[in-house]
Amino acid sequence: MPRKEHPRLRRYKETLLYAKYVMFHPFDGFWDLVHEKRGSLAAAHTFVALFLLTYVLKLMYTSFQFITAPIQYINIYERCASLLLPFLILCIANWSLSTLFDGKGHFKDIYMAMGYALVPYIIIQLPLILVSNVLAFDEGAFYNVLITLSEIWCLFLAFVGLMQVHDYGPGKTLVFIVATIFGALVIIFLLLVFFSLLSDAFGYFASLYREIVFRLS
Amino acid sequence: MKSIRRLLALLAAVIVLVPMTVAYAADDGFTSTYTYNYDYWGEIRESPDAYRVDQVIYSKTLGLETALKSPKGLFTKGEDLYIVDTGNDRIVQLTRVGTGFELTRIIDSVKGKSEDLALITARHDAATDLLEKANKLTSDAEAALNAPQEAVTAAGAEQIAADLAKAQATAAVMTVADWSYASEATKAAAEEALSAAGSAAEASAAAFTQVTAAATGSTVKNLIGVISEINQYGLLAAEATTAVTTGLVAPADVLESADAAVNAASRAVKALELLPAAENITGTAGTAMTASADAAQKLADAAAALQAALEADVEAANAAAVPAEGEEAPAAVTYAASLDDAIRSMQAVTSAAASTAEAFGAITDKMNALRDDVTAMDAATPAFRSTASEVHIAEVPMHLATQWTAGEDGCVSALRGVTDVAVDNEGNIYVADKSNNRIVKMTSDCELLIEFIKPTDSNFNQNQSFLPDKLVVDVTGRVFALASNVNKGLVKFESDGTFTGFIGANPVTYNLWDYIWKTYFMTKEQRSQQAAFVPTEYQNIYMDSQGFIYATNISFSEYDLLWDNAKPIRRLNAVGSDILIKNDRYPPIGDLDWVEQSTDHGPSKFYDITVLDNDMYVAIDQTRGRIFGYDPQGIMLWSFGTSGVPSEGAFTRAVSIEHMGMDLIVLDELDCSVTVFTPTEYGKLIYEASEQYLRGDYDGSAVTWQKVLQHNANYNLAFIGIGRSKMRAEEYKEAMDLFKMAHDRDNYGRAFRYYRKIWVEQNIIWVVVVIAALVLFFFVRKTIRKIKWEVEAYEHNKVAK
Repeated sequence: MPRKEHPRLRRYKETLLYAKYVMFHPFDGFWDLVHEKRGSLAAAHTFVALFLLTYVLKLMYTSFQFITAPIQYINIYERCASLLLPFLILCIANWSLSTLFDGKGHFKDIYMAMGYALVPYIIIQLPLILVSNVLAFDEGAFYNVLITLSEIWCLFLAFVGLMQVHDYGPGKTLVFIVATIFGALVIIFLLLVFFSLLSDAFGYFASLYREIVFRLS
Repeated sequence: MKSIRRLLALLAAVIVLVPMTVAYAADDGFTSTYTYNYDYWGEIRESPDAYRVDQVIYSKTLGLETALKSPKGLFTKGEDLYIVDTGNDRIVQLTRVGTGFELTRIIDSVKGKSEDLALITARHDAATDLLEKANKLTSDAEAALNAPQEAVTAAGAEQIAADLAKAQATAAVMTVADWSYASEATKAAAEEALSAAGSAAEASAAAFTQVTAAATGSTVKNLIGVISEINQYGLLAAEATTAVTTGLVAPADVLESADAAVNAASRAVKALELLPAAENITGTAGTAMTASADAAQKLADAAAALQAALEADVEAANAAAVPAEGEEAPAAVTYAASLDDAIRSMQAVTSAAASTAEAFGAITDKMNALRDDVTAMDAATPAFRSTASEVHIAEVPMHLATQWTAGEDGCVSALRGVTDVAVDNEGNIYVADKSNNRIVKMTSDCELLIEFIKPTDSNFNQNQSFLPDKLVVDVTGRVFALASNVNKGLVKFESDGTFTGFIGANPVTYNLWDYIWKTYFMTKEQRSQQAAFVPTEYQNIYMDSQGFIYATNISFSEYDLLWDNAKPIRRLNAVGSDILIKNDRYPPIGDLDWVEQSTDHGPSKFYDITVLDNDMYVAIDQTRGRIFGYDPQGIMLWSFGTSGVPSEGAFTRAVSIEHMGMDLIVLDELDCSVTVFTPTEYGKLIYEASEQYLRGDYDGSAVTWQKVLQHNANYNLAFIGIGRSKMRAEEYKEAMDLFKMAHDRDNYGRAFRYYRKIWVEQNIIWVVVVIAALVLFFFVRKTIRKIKWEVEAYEHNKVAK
């Protein structure tokens, strides 16, 4: 029976499974991701969403032996924002600085590469939530090692991803990353100043309004 | 229908109101002490009162004549409570009688041994006597130093010379007088007067020469030198005896000072040998002056005779011939006038000579006084030396002679500025006598046994005094003292008084950035103005039954506190390392959060700590007047207390806490009151359950913890205790739930392992089945795909063919 699959769905599934190849063959994978168009933006969105979901599930369902998460004090939106916003700001800073460093990546490419770099975290941590409920406190080393492994793997993939997207050498990528962090700090600073000014402006207009109202009445 | 409804309403009211009244009646009727505890997340949870105020003791209730004044410490031993009344320099001892406290006695002085009294007073008196003599010697020597100078000034040599010259001039004038009209008697008198004048002039001149020679001669210079040497030796002797008198020398040094005084005295005696020279001067000058005075007197007599004769002549002449108008008076009158002048000058010379003789005579007097002083001092020194050597041999430990006074039955030393007290198992009392720079060990009858004084070891900074603030005593009688301005740790003395070093210094902590900044980036001047990296001192100490010292520390920065670098409570072992067990999420620092910008802001500062017999330690925080109780694992049991009026279990300035059995006794310095707390049922249950748990009697402790949970349903330790007992009873699931509620990872892990083992043993079949199914599933899938691929390939080939 011929399978009449929607071509977009098929492409989506392909790009999702391509993440497996990227995880184990980063250099080749990221290069093809961008230049051979084997990755898609939808997949990147999916991975980012799964990443946040994994984090939330981790907070909720990991055994209390391995995590100190006072559920009554956690604000999910705040926590998700604390992950998502730095991620986005770093991507933006990266893209902004790529002109200075003669990078060849578009914003779409950078975002896709970063999205795919998050996959090890999801793959490892999601089952680990279940495993943590089966482990005792003394066997915690096992759990901690896998957590650390997933994080380091992610960082490594991010590094390679940037390297391939912008077509840099490793040394230049390191410098570029340091510059990106500085850029991100500058963006954060500007945002803070902006919001502070905005609140002052609002306050000004509000007090102006109140004053007028009091005068009239 | 209506009546039934009414009946129901009445029933409802009764059901609601009766328990309330019963609850109200069951209220013990005491004011709450605001007890609370911290939960796992650091939030404050109120709990039932663990302690209630039993009584508040004031000076009035005890019947003290002088009220307590700024008391600074407490000590309990058995049923005795000792209050250190610093403001009144005494220790008040109370005993618990029934439910109240009664005054037993007041300790404000130490009795010395009677045989030491004689030695002490003898040495003291001999030293004072010698000192007086030395001081007199010094003052007389000073006076004698000035005597020759005074004599010379009195001589008024210049005035004498002027008068002498004038007299000589007049005498010369007289020789060319025309005595033609004078009578025979007058002429004879005139000749006599003339010769007397001449001899007087000679004698005066000679005397004058001799006096000036004596005053400026080398003899006087030597004399002055000798006198100033005597003065110096006198000062040395005075210094040595002053030191001995005020008692600032150790017994071995007494002998040295005595020798110094004796040597000074003997040197002064030797110097005396040069004194006869003074007599010579006096003698010579005196003789010359006397001769001159005699001659002057003769001249005066002759002049008086001449005057009389001349007057007679003048009368006769005036009677014989009356001069005509405008004629001059006879020349005899003029001669009389100039003779008068001459006589007056002579008299002046005479009186000057007399006063000079007097002044020189004074030198002799002073020399004689000096000789007497030196002889007296020389006589007193052997007595002093022998007493000093007796004291030295006897090695009387009373080094500070001024602190001991003679009482009716022996010598007595008053305590001054007492800061702490301790009592050992034999009943010996140890008092930290701060203003007297010593720790006194006395029997229970207040007789002196040992004085612990400033160590002479070079490790102890000799420029500092020994100011013991707090002390603890261990079972062998070793004394550990916390001294002011000593930051090397606690001062340790053996039971016989010898100093054996310091233990338990606060380890110096500084961070890397400070060190780098200070070493490489600061200039020398800036560095010299900075405080050095020195450790800080402890605030208070307490020794538990096993001989470990609990020490509290109140000088730390808040930053260090949050990172557990400042350890406000330490448990020191014999080497001085901190071995406090801190198994709770937060270390024992008292309050976990504090409100800034309020009157009681800042972290908890523990001013005192006490350890109960079951190894639970209780510390009192002065910032907010809180008492914190911890178990041996470092977990907070409860916390209560506040600042305010002491009658309600609050404190204005709490300085000391002690325990008597399970009761807590707190001293309030500003209010001069002692508050006694006794545990409530809840408090007693907690102790009982903790003791059972720590002994290992988990099942017994579970029962008691259940009772605790009835009072306070959130008590973490109760969950852990009950959980452990359930683990022993192999009810692992329940144990795990309890440990989860208490957030105890360790115990949860233990229970979980057992639970997991049992679960796997019970469900191994299912586990194996599931795994096999999975494996089978994948294998089957793979095979199906392979078959499918082969079929498709075959069909494809078939079609292509």
